[in-house]
Amino acid sequence: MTSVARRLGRAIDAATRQDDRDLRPLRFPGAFAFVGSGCLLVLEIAAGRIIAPNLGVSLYTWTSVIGVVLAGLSLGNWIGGRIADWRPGRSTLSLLYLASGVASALALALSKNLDALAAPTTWSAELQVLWLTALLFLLPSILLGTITPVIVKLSLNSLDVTGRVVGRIQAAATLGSIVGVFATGFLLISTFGTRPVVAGVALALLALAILSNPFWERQSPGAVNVALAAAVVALFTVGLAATYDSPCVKESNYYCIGIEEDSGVKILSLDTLIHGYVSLQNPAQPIYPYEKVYESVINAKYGKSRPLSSFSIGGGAFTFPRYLARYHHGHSVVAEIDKEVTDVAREQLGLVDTPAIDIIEKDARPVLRDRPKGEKYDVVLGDAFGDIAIPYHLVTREFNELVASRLRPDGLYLINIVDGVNYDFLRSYIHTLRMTFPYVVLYGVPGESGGGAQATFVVGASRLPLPNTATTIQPAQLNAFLAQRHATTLTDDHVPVDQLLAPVFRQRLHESLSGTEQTGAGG
Amino acid sequence: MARPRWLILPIGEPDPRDSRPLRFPGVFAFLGNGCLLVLELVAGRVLAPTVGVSLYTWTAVIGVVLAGISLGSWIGGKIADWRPARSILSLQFLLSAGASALVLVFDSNLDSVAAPFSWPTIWQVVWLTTLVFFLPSLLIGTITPMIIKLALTSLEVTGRVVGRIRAAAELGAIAGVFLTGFVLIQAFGTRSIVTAVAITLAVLGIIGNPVWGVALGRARASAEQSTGGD
Repeated sequence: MTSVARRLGRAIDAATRQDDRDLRPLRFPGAFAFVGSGCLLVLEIAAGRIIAPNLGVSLYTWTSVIGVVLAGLSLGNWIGGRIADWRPGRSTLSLLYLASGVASALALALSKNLDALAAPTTWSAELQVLWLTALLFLLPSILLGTITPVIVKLSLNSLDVTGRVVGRIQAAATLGSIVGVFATGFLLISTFGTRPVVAGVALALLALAILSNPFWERQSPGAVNVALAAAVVALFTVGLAATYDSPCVKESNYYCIGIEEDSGVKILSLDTLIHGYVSLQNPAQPIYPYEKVYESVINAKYGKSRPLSSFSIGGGAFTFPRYLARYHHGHSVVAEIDKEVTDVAREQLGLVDTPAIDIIEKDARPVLRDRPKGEKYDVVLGDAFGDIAIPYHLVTREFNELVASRLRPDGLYLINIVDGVNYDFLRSYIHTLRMTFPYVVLYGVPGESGGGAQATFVVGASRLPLPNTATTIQPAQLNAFLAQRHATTLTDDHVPVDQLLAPVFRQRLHESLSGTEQTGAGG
Repeated sequence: MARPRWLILPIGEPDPRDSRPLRFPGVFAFLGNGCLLVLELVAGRVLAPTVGVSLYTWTAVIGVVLAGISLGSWIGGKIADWRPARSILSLQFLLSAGASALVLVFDSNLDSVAAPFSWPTIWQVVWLTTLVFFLPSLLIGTITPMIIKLALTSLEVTGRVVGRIRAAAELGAIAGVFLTGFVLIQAFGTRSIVTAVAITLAVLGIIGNPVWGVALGRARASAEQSTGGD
């Protein structure tokens, strides 16, 4: 152990020996800043996705990730400035790249078993998320933050051009960030998965550690040591990535998609939530309780009198469009934003393309707006979720008006909704819906509308009275519920969905982190 | 005494008083960058009714804002070397305020400036995001290089000064993200938040203008004169 430490000390010493060559400006400072900053943003995007299967996706997780990365970057810039003034040199830069590569490899190692790293359950949920995020990503963010000031320092040799040099290197760093964001979001995660992406970052940084070393050309001991260390870490990184056992059948641009099978029923989960149950014998059979509520409301309203045309906001397991096609000779337009979810439904959940189901791989709101003007629906089904939250642009008064304009005069708008704790979101949602539709009914979902952190409901809205079912919540009860607390009118200008659902996210995080089994709900 | 024109617009001969370091450069970097991140976070809300919320919208927003900062940093660096001046910094803040206010104008007419329906989704999103958010990002991006330039007085400490101002700017970014995510979106509407950003930038532009330093200097000089005369 001591000999390793001594060797490392000697390596640092050799690599950081001040020497004219060491102070030579980098050949392509912009390229180094570009790749370094790009790596940080790749890590940032991957970070949110790495913690999603454990912690879900909410205001808390994304804020933690952004906060930790920016805080690390900020601290890193400050430290990097001091390092740059204290010991400007390409060898310093090389060591900082090496350390960043090691820190990224470490994050990869830690991400293999997130459960084992959880903070004490007595901590508040926000702190627990912050703890896990910081544990993995604070160190690489700090180290990557130290790099730009050192590059700037190496490139500055006159006060006259400081603005230009700083601006140019900063611009290169920012361009690297852009490429990092786009590449990771659109391409890298869905092609390779989150862990190989982090491994790739570590490898890129290790390569920069070797490339930036000024002694490399003459094969001094310092350069050889840095190269050796980089090679060892690189091997370790590749090993980690190769042995990772992913819980997802597919990591799409949006979710970790999971499929499990339980006595003839396939269960589709997206991140932490169960989004659908599909019977292998009859994929058109609603099994999920909220879909059974949809079924009973639609049967009570229309019976089998005529073929139904419908629009589904979100496809998921595609159970309900298949049900409508089979039992109501229906035609459905389904807006499912995640192409991979649709592909998994085709490959594993028995979804067969038929003229009865039009699948459009886009966001539901522009799709609904741009449908041919004469196309009207008997039923519009709300079934889109980002974690447990309905995306905010699908709950506003303006969107409700759009839905109303697309419904036949007696048409039904049925929405699956998740809320809990003080039910402020559900209350505000119904309050807003009532501004557009004269009749709004709340249906309980058997077994899932009880207390606890999160409960599932179905809300129905129409211009005509809605049918009662066994689980209708009576108007008097509904009015009392609405009057209990303040309801916010949700508009495109002001739609604080995450904040209204914050108590539910917090409670659920607390339960999942303390090991309490949670029941998934969603669609 | 005629008021020197460089106080308001950088015309004519540069005046050494105009390139004096800012009193609190970190505060200016903090608030300027904070404003940009506030805009970035509400951008998703501004665009959602027209183009929805998807990976495309968020990526386009992040990409357009970063591209704006990037180009802005580059242009800002050139401007700073060409003429390091507080009057220019003041102008940069005021223009940024104007560009942020433009977001409000676009917000009321988004559907009418949307790209043709025939374009692929991604280009529709990128088009609209660029139209609305590129200019404010670019202009705010030009600010930090000028602040750094004004603060740099010796080559010995470049690392420290650049590091400190960058750190302040990034702290501002963090504050902007957290404040918007946890407080502003809940408490206020999108339009009010954008208005507040424009006002903050305008105030920074006014405070950063060297006219105050000159006025104070004059007041101090005349005060000294009058006490000296007693």
